[in-house]
Amino acid sequence: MKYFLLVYDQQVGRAESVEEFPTLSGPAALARRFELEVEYRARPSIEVVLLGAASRDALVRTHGRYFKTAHELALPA
Amino acid sequence: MTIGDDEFAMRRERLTVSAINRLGTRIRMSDVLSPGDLNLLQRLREEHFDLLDSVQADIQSRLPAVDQTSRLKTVQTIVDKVRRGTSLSRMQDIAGVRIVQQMNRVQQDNLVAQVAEAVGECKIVDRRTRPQFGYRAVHLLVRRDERWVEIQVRTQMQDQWAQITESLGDAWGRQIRYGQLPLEPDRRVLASDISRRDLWAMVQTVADSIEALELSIVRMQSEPDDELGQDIVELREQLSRILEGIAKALEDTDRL
Repeated sequence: MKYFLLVYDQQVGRAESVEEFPTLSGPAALARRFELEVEYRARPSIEVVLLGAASRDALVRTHGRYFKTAHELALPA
Repeated sequence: MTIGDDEFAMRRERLTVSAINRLGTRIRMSDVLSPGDLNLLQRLREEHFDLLDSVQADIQSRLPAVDQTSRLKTVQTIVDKVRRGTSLSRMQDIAGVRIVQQMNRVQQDNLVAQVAEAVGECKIVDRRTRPQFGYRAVHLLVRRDERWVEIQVRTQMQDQWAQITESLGDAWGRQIRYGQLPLEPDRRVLASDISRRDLWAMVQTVADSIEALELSIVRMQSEPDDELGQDIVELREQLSRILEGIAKALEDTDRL
């Protein structure tokens, strides 16, 4: 399981950055997340999200809102 | 030193239920989290993170072909939920696993049973029969070491609706996920002449259309019938039309 650390701006509806951590680096990813949460605390529209997945593609399938606009999400499958 | 600082210094080991409850009370009573309480909340999330790993490993070992992703709630969503009245020590979705597959309702039931077998003792909450403001899925609640992990099992259509709703919730306020109207409900969505209120109503009809379609597909498999087959075609077309209408209204809008 890899980890993906996203800095997502709710106002814009897109991830500003995606940091990838290799398998077995969960504690490092979590520590980095806590750092970023403190860093962005003054910006309430920022959501720092830590997601675990086998690949980025798997993540896009289950957490599409961080990667696609509402328009793209609504397109018929 | 605040109470939160003191508890953090004293308790490097696992947080007790009463310490979590005291933290929950302080979150509910104050507007701003103290640094000590923020640390306690981080610690609580760390504990859930370890648990998440063990639950995912169980699913992976029994169901290696099943794609699963995990997430830990953000500080803000935990704080918001506590302030809406949920007990912090009883919060069941601090740690979550999500499985989304192209499948019908029977396949969803089978997958839920397989996941339940993989993780052992758990409580199954069928949000298809008891939807939450349009949200449908099946949740498995796994309790280990006095902590919960919530596993969400969604069909692709159930997930598409949930993702649209979450995305609109970012722009129009998360309260829409709990049955309330969007912020500025009469404001026009930029690319269309539709108000947020009306567009949100369209999104809610999508949830009902998905439900009707999924139930019809299952019925068709057990009792094939030409008329029902035609209903399914019409339901698919109706769903596509509504989704196209929503997508069109949201086209070319960076800000909704």
